[in-house]
Amino acid sequence: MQVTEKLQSIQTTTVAIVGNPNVGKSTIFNTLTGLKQKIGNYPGVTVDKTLGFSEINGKKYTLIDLPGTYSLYPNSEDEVIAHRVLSSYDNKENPDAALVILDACNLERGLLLATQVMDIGIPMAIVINMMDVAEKKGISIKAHELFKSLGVPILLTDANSPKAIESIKKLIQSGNFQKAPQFLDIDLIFPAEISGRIQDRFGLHTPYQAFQLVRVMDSETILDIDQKKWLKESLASIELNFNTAQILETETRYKKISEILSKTIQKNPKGSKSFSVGLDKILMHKVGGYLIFLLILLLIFQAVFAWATFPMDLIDGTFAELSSWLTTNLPQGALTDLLAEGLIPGIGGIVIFIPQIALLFGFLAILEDTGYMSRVVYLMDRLMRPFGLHGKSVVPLVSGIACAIPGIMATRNIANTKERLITILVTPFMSCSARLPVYIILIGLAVPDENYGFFNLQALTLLAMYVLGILAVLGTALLLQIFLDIKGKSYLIIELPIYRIPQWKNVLMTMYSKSKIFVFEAGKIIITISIILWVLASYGPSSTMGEVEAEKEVAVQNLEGEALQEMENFYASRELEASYIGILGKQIEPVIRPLGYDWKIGIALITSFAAREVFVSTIATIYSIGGDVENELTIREKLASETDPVSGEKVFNTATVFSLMVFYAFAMQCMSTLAVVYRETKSWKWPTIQTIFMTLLAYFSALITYQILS
Amino acid sequence: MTADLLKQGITATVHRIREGDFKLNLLEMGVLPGKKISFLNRAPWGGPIAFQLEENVIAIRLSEAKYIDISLSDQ
Repeated sequence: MQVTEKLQSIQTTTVAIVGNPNVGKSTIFNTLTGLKQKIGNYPGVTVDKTLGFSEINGKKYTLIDLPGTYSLYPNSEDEVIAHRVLSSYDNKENPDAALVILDACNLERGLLLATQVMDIGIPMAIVINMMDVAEKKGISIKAHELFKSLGVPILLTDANSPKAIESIKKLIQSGNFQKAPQFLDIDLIFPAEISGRIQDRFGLHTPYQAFQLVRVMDSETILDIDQKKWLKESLASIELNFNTAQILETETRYKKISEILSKTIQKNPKGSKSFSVGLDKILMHKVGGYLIFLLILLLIFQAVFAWATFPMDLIDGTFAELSSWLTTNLPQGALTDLLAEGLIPGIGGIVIFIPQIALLFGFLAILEDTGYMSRVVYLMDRLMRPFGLHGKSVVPLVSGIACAIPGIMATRNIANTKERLITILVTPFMSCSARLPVYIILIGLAVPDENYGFFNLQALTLLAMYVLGILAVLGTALLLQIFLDIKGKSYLIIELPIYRIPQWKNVLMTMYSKSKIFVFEAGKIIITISIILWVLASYGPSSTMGEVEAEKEVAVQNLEGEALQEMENFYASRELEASYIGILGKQIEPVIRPLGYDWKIGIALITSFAAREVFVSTIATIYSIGGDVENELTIREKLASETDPVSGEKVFNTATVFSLMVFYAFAMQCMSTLAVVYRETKSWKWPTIQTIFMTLLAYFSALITYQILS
Repeated sequence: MTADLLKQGITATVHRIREGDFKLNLLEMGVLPGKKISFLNRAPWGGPIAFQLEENVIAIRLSEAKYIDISLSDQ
């Protein structure tokens, strides 16, 4: 094991890509690695890092794409990753070199980070990007002078030109990374005697690494209690206010940087009002800005629902065919059933959402790439704050329209713990695409397909369901804002980058990687659960189950064609009733009766606990619709004619249907989301509270809905 | 005077950042003494303010802008 690890580390060189936000880091990373990317876990913590693989002239490289950060001291979850990868204290995960990307128009700020990386002692090179924009602004850089002052290789490029990537490749391939001389005399801030002892004990290379370790020791999970105690004891002899020390460090760095820049940079401002500022007058306008944002949202909405229909139908058909092909062509038996009825539909249930997720993230990537997203944060911050949310909460919430999973993962750049937690907890209330098939079936049952003036009633109802979701988001956020007792400063200090034309390759890459994250995150859970559910739905206590099976044997004996099909559908429903899940459904009936549900709907509630969309297929099976499950019209007709055997009333009456819709709007019917919330909050406390709260809210709201309408 | 009071069309110079919670964040963002700063936009209902800071545009909340001491240039 160790031998192979060694071999690998000899064969591949690991290069971390570091830089401020909006410097074109991801473009460089994506162009260098293409689709050869994966998300890697960092040991001991729950944050991921994005790895990419690149082969340059036969030599293999592993590139790490670190989230944009302004300094090596982490402010948000996102920035923790950059900090950890670069200053990893266990030394195994250390990248071999760092490639620091700077924005040519923002050298001062970029160099703050770059000189911190220099002081960590990792071999590095600097890429000064966006030279094209800098030239337009009249900024010229004396690269050689800068190289002489800093002591690390420097490359001037514009990463959007094809030539630039070649030169970056050459730089990586030449291995021309250099350990920089110490930039900052950290001894002024942190006594050399103490840093020396810490360096020895933890095997650190530079005093600055020692200072950093001390700075983050309280949140550093790699340190054990003894180590922390030892560190605290070593510090006992000095007065060290971290905040003051860090401000002093930052100011000292800037002073030195500005001395260097005064000699190496020339600015001849061209004075022309930039295109960006003019565009901002419209896009950030008090009224117009919000209207445009609303229009963009509507466009995204339209795209996610209308354009995604075709590929979704295609995927749906393919999986249904695959299932039936397997049933006819494989030998009969439990394994075939598991494959055809459990596994394949389970996978299909995930794959079907890919078009919507890819489209949504394509749009979000365009908004991000053009620089518009920062304007959204600016516009929305004031509106979100009363609810305990942050301007940056908008992205997770909008993502939630497709799927809460990538939305929750997008909360990492929210620095304030409370705001981030609230965003995580309320995002699942956004009407995700898994609720859509449920809504569509139910609306078809209770709302006539008629026009009310200009509007279609069914479309209005659907819109109302989305509004309901948003109201739940705001209401719950407000409650959490009042009751959550978490302190921490909240701030909004963001750059509004100049507008740029999106890099289409980058957009496609984002669509691909987000879909991939979704497939793996949701996939492993949905598949596991769908297997469990299949077992529960296919087997039952042998006494009752055996009886039904024996009865079926006799009944189908002499039947053929349509009659046989009908009889089989009938028995599929009887078997489900006799299965474990059927028994469970009957047991919860007293609880859900006040909501207007019978035990059959109860079964659907249980099966769709793992994933909402399962409701449709379960309902189809249980009301013995059989055959082509996805034919909505068949399901609808069948359900509409379903009556209660006792009272003779319609099962799916208006009250029940609306009660069900409200239930699905609020209930936490998604195991994958729970798993992601667990990962992002690092405890079971929050997913548990979230599930209980959402389920109670769903239950009582559905109860009220039913009682009012019936 | 502090940056939240800056009016349209006036260019000022950052004088210093007041001590407090946001000092480090502002410094890291490049809000440094000596930099030219001018007002661009203001989000409604006391929302964030967008400033031109030399070649960059940044947006910060009103409460944070109060930490930036500015001095008006004579032009």
